[in-house]
Amino acid sequence: MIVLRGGNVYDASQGFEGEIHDIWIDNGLIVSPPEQIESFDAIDVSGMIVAPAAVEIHTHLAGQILADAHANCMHALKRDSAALPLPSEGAAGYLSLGYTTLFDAAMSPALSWKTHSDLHSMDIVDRGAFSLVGNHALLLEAIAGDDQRATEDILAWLLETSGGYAPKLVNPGTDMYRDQPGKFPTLDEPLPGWDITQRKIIQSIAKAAKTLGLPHPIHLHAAMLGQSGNWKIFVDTLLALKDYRAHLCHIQYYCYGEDQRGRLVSAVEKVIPALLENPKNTYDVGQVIFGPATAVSADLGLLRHLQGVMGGHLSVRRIAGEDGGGTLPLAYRAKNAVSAIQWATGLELLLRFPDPTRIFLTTDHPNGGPFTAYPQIINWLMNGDARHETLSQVHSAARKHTGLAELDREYTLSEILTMTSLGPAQALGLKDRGHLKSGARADIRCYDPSFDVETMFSAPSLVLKDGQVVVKNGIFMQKSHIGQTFVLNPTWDRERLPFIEQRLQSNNSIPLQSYGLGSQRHRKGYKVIKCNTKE
Amino acid sequence: MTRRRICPFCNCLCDDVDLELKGDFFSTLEPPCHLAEKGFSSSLSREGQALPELNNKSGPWVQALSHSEKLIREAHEPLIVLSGEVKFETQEKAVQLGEYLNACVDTSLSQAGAAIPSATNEIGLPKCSLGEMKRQADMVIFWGCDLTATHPRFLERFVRNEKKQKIFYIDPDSNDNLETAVQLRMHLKKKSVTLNDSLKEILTAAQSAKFGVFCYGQHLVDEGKETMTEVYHLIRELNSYSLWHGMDLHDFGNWLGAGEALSAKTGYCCSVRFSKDGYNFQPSDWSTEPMLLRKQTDLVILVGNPTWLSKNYLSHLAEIPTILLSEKRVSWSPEVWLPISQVGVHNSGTSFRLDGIPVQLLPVAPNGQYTTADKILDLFLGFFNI
Repeated sequence: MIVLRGGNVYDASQGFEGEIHDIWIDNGLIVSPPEQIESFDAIDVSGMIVAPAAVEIHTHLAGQILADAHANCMHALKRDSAALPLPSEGAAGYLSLGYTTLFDAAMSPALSWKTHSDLHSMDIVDRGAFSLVGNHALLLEAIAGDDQRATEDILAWLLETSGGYAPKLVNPGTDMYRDQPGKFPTLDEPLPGWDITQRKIIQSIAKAAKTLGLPHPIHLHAAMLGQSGNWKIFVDTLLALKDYRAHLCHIQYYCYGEDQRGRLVSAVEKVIPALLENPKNTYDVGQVIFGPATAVSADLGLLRHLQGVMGGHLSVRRIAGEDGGGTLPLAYRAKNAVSAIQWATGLELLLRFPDPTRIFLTTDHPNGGPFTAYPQIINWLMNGDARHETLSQVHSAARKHTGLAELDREYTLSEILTMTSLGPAQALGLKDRGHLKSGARADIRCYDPSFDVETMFSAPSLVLKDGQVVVKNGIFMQKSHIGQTFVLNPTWDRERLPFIEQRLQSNNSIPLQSYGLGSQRHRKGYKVIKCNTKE
Repeated sequence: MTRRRICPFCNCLCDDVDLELKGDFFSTLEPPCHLAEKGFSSSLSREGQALPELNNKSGPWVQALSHSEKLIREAHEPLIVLSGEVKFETQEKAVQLGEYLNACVDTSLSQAGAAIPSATNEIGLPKCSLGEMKRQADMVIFWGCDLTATHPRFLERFVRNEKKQKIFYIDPDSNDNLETAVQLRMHLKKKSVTLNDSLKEILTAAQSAKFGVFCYGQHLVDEGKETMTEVYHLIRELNSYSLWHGMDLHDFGNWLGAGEALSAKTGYCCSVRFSKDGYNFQPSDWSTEPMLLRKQTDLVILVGNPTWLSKNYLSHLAEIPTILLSEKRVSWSPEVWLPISQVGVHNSGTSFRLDGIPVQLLPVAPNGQYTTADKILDLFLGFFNI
């Protein structure tokens, strides 16, 4: 048994905002203070900020497309591992920032073997991946046939066979526009070759996710990412999901209006009411950071469009019958108007949205920039002076075309800690983390308090994973395999398997025995999270 | 009994093979494929190849492994070469061993000055799965390929479809592929160059195709980075007109898996040197070919037969201590030969199809008489308690 003695505890689930409490830990779990105990180890955290460890809800660290991204930047004798880390490096980087749970946001079922191979290399954290389903031919066939039962079964099969934690939709249905780069379909435009619309796809899969009782709902990368004026279709998308629960990702990229000349401006104020309308929805921001970045996405039309605009070498993998992915090096420049507006829009969104349990800090790593920039972003959120100083140094378009300059709100420490732990844990349906109540996993981070917020968040003094000290003063203490990969066991009609096998061969040209996890399924380190069909 | 199998012998990994076994042979194999027939015949009928050899003399495993351990422990500059003969799981373990030994680890992707990774790094490459090519392609170009030798069923299995697509071949024996690639690009940019009629026809068709695939083979890769870079540029520039993709048919076997195994650890698919400080990548220094030429290594561990090395380099191999893990004996003489089973015939494992899809191979005729490469790597790792 271990006790963390005398820390200033922050736990939004219990209303703690720095009160001094001891935290008792036994067998990897937080427990109530024992009445009698013979022996225990005490760790003195007096004076320290003690909070639940952070949870990353949307990052891109694993899988074949990341491997392609590495192949695109082999010119250096040594890679820039901060900008584009390997999966194991990424996990270590996150852990050193106090994150003990990570979710990779895009996994092609056909390539899930590779993603899970990478997830296993991230064995110092708990982790999972979201399965790309929005362009899967089998699922679209079921939806087009108005067969909701088949939609549920195929979605469940896809999640099970690929070891996915949630259904990820990336501009669903728009793979049909493959030969029309720059074409961005609307929510209600019939998709080429199919008698369905994007609205129908999103609603059908959201409904299926609800019926299956998935712990995390559809994770949606909406249409028209980054386009001027896209706020309208984004609001329409939110309205389309009003009867369901959804997580919409990197939403900063959807908060754009356009001025009279069609140029990018912030439309955050127009989007906020729609974001607040559905209390079941959660969001992550996708904050942009100045410097090099890498676009890693299944939105191939977007990547082709970006290459046309910005240049750079694009690598793409198209997979028959489902989402593939692509990668393109990018850079965001402080003196570039578009970059500056994107940067300011993300911060404006975070500052205008009032509820830290529903909006989460991400950079959509590596798309908006590396996750290692989180401390810098936190500083901008907590320190109005630092934010305004940076705003004064970037392209003036950020001041003219966004509402950031007029905002004085400063996030409290409690809000930052909630936004990075309780909020994402709840959104992911992980009831055992994100808080410090009895029964929670003892995943905890401790900071030496400092007015230099950026430095403080860069280097927690202690990180505990399952009650074991894994990072102490920046040094990794634990090298054995302590994390698990979260998977689901949704219920589906196994009688459908011969049909699935036949359609898979026809649509995807991949044998069933090779589709999905394959031999990865037999590895140790999986934890099944139950689906709650009663919810 | 006839059963549906996946053929492991080229990286098409055709999954529609109906194989009827009779004892240690097969009686029928459909659809016909000379590589599959040769491979299954040879692997199924292996006799008298279950014992390792030390300097060409057959002997017990204990002796061969003991000698291997001695060679590995004494080496100061070991080189581990991953080839396509073994499964991904074994290649992963070999990388793990290389990291521990502070060895150089290389794969076939370093050939011709790391032509393929260099071009990918510089230009990028759009790719598609074989299923996508089958369903969507209305034009396919083959350049520098020898399909009969490397991928006999590629056309029938993954190319020909109801679209009656246009298929073009650019002469694999041509010696001026670089010049041809440059001319095609110039013509595409409407610069005045002389292009022969057949190349003009190909380019015109390519500009109007909706979904094209450019398949390139060993003859092109052999020419090196400059040629591959021009070809990749061409593919990229054709994407201004329509969707074009590259497909690498330069070799068969699990060479993609080898690159993936090394890349998963380092981010680099070839030519990596591990050290106390981490690892570094430099094709000119730490690829197999230059290291052999400069006699820069005092032990080479070959995980799979390096069929991609030319005879010139094989003669260098004969001059230094070598440990070879392969199914069959080779023409040159390794110091230690450790015979291994064939994945997809005797044991299971993961191999990468030529479009990058990992495929689970199952044994056709499980045979405990043959040692797996995986087991040997486990023993090597066990020497050092890894």
